[in-house]
Amino acid sequence: LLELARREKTDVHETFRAITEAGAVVLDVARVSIWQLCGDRNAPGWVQEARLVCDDLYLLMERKHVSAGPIHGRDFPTYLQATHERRTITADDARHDPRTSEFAEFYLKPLGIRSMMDVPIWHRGEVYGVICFEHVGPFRQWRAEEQDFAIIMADIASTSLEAAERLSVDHRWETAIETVTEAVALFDARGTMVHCNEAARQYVDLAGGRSQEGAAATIEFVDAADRPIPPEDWPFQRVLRHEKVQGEIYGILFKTTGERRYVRLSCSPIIQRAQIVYVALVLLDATDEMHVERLKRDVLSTLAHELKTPLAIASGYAQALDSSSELPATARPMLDAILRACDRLDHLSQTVIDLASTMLGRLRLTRERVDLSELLLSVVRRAERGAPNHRLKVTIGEHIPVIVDCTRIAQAMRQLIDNAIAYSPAGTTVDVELSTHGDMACLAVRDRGIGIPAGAQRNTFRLFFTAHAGTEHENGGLGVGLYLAREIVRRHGGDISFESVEGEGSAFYMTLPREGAP
Amino acid sequence: MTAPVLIIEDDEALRELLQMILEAEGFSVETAANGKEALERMMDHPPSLVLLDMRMPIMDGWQFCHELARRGGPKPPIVIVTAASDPAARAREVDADAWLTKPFDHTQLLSLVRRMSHVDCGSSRRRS
Repeated sequence: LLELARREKTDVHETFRAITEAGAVVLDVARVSIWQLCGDRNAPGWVQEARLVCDDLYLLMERKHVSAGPIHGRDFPTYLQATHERRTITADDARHDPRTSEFAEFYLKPLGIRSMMDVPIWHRGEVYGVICFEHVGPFRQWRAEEQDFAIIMADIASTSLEAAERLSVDHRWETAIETVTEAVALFDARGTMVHCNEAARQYVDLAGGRSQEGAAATIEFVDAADRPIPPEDWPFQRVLRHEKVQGEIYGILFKTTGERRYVRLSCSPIIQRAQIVYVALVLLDATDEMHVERLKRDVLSTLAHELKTPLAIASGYAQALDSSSELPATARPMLDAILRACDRLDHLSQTVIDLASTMLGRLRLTRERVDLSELLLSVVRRAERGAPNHRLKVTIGEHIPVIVDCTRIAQAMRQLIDNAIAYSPAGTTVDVELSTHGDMACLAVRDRGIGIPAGAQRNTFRLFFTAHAGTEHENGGLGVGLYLAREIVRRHGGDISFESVEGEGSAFYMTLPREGAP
Repeated sequence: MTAPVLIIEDDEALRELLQMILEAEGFSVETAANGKEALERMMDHPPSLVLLDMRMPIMDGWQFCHELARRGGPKPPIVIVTAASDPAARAREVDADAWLTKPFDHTQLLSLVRRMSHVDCGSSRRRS
């Protein structure tokens, strides 16, 4: 029994052979066999269609394993029904026991079998089949300990079936995990890698080991803008703090070779009894993706920078003409158009430069102490000049000192005001209100305009999204302004949100921490 | 004669525009197409103020400032003319005194030049 319990059970065939043999020897039974019950047991009249198929039959006298033909339900319906009733059948007089008497003429008498004991084998909460002990010779009364032994044999058979299935599932998963191009690795809570797939092995080789401690000496994590990340903020450590790490871009610098790779990284904890016991990590190489992204942004940024010099020349000479007294009256509207075009070009190229800087993490903030009320007033004055057909109603209370990058915050405030003007009809009023709530300064910009369609609200801050694209309200923007405004404000520890009803108007809210706010 | 404003800019049209605006307001102007040329010009005509483009061939704005610092001696106020989105940071990088972003406003340019060249007169007097 001990030997049986100890043995590797993933090979069902071998385990069944060991069970039948051990059962026959220990109980001194002539024939011990294991049968699998086949057929759909949920179908009506299933017994007629079902059959028992022999997995193994051990003959004690001959000391050999043989097979036997199937037992059909249509021939032995009472026995099959009894088998399915999930109880041990102990038939001391098998030839007359109603559950087994069907076998008497055809099977029991010819083979000299007197007593039978059949124990169901369970698998996945159902009866898999039976283990049969068939005694040849005089009547045998099955004792309680013999029945217990038979049940243990059936349990070992169940365990074997489960082990084999687990192995098969593991094998399927292992095959799937080995096949994927993502690197997959499993770490224990101390940070030692316990399992990894082929794709992950190349990272292990580059890092020179499987432990996080060792890795700290050989690799360095950097963010998408190549700034080093302190070890306490590495993905593994963040997961241990129950932070979510999903699809984030990281750069990994391998110190030994100097190689740098970018990866899209996800990390999940595996929790048992409220403790993180393993951390699963999935890496997808994003080096090429990052290079293309950078190239795109660098090209855009360089292009926008290069535009600025010819723009300065055009706008400079236009301004010189503008102040000239010799300009003919007919040229005035033309010059105004040139100046407006220069402004638009400047705005567009600045937007592209800002966008490229933001996405590459290069948006630098030069913070200084400033009164937000005063900054807002200067923004409103400039916005008013460009919107002669709208009224800006400003409500400002106290001085609100903040520590911000004035240019950037002015840009974000201007974006909200310009949007309100652009999307509300001439003659309407835009309300601009600055107040404080606890540690935060709050700017509200409300218009009585066209509003944002409900279906578009979810995407309002998405890059390159324009809520009114393809409608009469499209105004030719890049769909970048609100994205940038929110990025700027978020980098100051604030946020932008909005409420909008289509056809009634929108209200955008900007919050910023006041000076001294935690 | 007052010390000139030195315009260092590789783009000829922009250089001429700056020269035109400043001369129209009575400033004396010297020009150079890159940092190397500017250093030579400065030997003969020490400027009251430098308007400096950053991206130029032969010797760019960074190299020019570095070379000027290396040589020591009196340093004129420097205003960088830049398309950078963070002009303040760019100015700090080269220890410039002020910045002007491209494209610029004439009034903004003139008030900056007036203020900065005036500052220089004061500091020159202090040095002498």
